[in-house]
Order: sequence, then structure tokens, then C-alpha cells
Amino acid sequence: MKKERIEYDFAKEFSPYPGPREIRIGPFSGELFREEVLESFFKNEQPLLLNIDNTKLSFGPSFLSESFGLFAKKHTLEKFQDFLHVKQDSEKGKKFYEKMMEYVMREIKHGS
Amino acid sequence: MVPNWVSVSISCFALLISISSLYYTRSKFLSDSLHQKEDLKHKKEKDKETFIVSLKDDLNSLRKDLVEIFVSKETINYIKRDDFTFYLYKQSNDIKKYLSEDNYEKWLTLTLEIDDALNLVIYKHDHSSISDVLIKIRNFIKLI
Repeated sequence: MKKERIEYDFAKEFSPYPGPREIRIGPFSGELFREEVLESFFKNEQPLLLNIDNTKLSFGPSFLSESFGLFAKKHTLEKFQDFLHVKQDSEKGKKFYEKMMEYVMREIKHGS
Repeated sequence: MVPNWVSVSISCFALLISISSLYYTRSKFLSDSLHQKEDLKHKKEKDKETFIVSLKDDLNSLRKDLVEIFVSKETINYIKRDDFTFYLYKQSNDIKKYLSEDNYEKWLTLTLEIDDALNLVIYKHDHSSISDVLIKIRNFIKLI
């Protein structure tokens, strides 16, 4: 049976300062988030509601591409959208979702 | 009593006036909607020109800021990176609206490259990739 979706507060549980693309470049990277958060919850079949409202900085394009883009490319867009929902109660959440999907679609279409 | 030919003539005359009126209304409607379409097209073209001029100015300012970082080997912080990436994101919707799909894809690639280069400066004090990005921004300005 499918588990109930839980809320993941990015700022509280990962970092209020989303980092660069890769682990080798700096802390709280997109690569780290993909490997340790997204893959781990996905493996446990635990759907997420991502809340980014409390982050102090915006998400850089490279973070979005490396984390959500590569994850969606690996698992298919359908599974990605089923697994991850974004809390869009605020303008910030809505804008984040739009921006994230741009890089997800880009990675799926053109990523090598 | 009115003769038949008079009634028929009046009816024909009334019919003729109705047809002319309908024809006039139709022509006026078509001409108005054509004008509206032309006005809209003209406005869109003008908005596009204004947007491109302002985008080129902004990109030139961004280039100057990045040249400054590259030459002075300035160590920028998260907030400054955020300003840059926020600027890039802010342009995306209009770029999608006014430029071709191909140019929009090139824009997304450019934003990724600028962000990667800025991250290298912040986390690794490595300014080397800034020079590549400067060339790419210049090429993008030429493209639009």
C-alpha cells in the first residue's frame, strides 16, 4: 500500500542555503540532495511534499538541474511527479516549482 | 387599394436596403478585426524590440560585473550569486515569450554555465571558468 505523503522542509532538514551542483564543489549540493534525500525517500517508497518556503537563498539553476533534473531523467517524469509534490501555498513555492520544472524538462529532453 | 407592382417594388427596395446594410456591417467588422490584429502584431513587435534592447543592456552590465570579478579575483558571496541567478531567472519568461525555442534552450544552458562558474568562485576561489562564460554571454548577445 502506498504510504501517505510527508512534508519535507528543505531549510530545516537539508539547508537554508542550497549549494552548488556537485559535492566536490561545495556543501549542500544538488548532487548530495539527490543521492541522500531524493533517492533515499524514493527507495523507501515514501512520497514527499517539498516545502522550500524557509530557504534563505534561491535555488541556482545548477542545483535544480543536478538534483531534480537528473533524478527525473533516471526514474521518468511520471514517477518523479508522482513521488515529489511541491508545496505551492506561497508565491515563492509557485515560482520555485516553475523554475524546477524548466530544468527537469530540459534534462529529460536534452541531458546527455 | 395599392397596386401589386407597388407592393412588390417596396418589398424589393426594403430587401435591397437590408442586404446593403448587412454587407456594410460585415465589411466594417472584418476591417475592424484586421486593424485590431495589425495593432496587436505591431504592439507585440514593439514589445519584443524593447525587451531585446533592455536584455542586451542588462547582459552587458552582467558581463562588466563578471569581468570585475575575474580581473580583481574578487571572492563573491552567496547573496551576490543569488542576485545574479535571480536576474537570470527573471528574464526567462520573457525570453520564452519573445525569442525562439532554440534561443530559449541556449539561454537555459547559459544560466547553468553562469551559475556553475559563480559557484566555483564562491566555493573553490577558482575564477578560471568566468572567462569562458564571458565569451558565451557575448555570443548570446550577438544571437538575439
